[in-house]
Amino acid sequence: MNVQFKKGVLELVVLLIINQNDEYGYSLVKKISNRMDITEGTVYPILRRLVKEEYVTTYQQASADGPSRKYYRITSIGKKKLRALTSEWKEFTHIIDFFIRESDQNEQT
Amino acid sequence: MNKRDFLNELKKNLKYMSDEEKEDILQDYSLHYAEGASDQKSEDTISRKLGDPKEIAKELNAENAIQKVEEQKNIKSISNAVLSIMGLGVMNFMLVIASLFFILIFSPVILLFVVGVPIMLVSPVILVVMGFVNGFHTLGWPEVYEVIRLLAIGSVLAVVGYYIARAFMKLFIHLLKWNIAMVKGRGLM
Repeated sequence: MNVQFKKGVLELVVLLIINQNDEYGYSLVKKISNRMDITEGTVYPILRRLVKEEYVTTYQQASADGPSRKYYRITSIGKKKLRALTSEWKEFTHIIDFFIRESDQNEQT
Repeated sequence: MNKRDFLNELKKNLKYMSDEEKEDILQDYSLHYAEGASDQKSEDTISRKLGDPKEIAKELNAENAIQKVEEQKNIKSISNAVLSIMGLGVMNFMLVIASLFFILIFSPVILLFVVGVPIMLVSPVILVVMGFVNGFHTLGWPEVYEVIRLLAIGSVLAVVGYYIARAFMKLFIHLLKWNIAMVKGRGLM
């Protein structure tokens, strides 16, 4: 996937995943990298920022094997932020789609 | 690169933050390795997927420095933010220079405030000192009126200046954030 496209979208993707279920860092990174090719280390700075901006909170939970895990949970302002980002994204893709259709039509004529 | 080298490299490149903050960041990555190990991944594989620790550190430095400016608006935090953003890349460097140039254009006005307003505010003290030096018989009502006038203007300017400075600071933080956003994640993804 194009590098330019991935910039700025990662924050939205992180929020979308955490919105469904609380996640610990490693599982979140895995869920993203299964679908898109990312530099995994960049997810943690994004998580830190989301926590600082209070869109996400953290809590510790013991795991069956290995060390205790740091889970991330979306907050109510996080949900609000997610709604805003989602509608911005839809609006954006809507516009791009329009131009793609227009360009396709012109190629056919 | 193994886990130890990755974490060392990351730690070495983290700047302008408390040891506590650094440890917290290292903890996140350390846990990532632990989870990766129970996921049957080698340290080398995990490191390769994480990316360049230097670049990650730069990103974290810039984010953190901006956060600090918002918390405590002093020269140190501002210069740290400016420097760390410049470190993100050539493009950021240019943008920061442009922002600073913008600030520079306003500098005569700023200087006028910084020098002028305090003088206005301490003008009564100056008057008394002049009285002592030259003898109080040299001071008449016109001088006293002048001092009262200066004091009034100075007070108004100080309040106005305070609000202007605050607005300016907001604008500057905005510029810095925009700088980061413009070139966000370049070379990272």
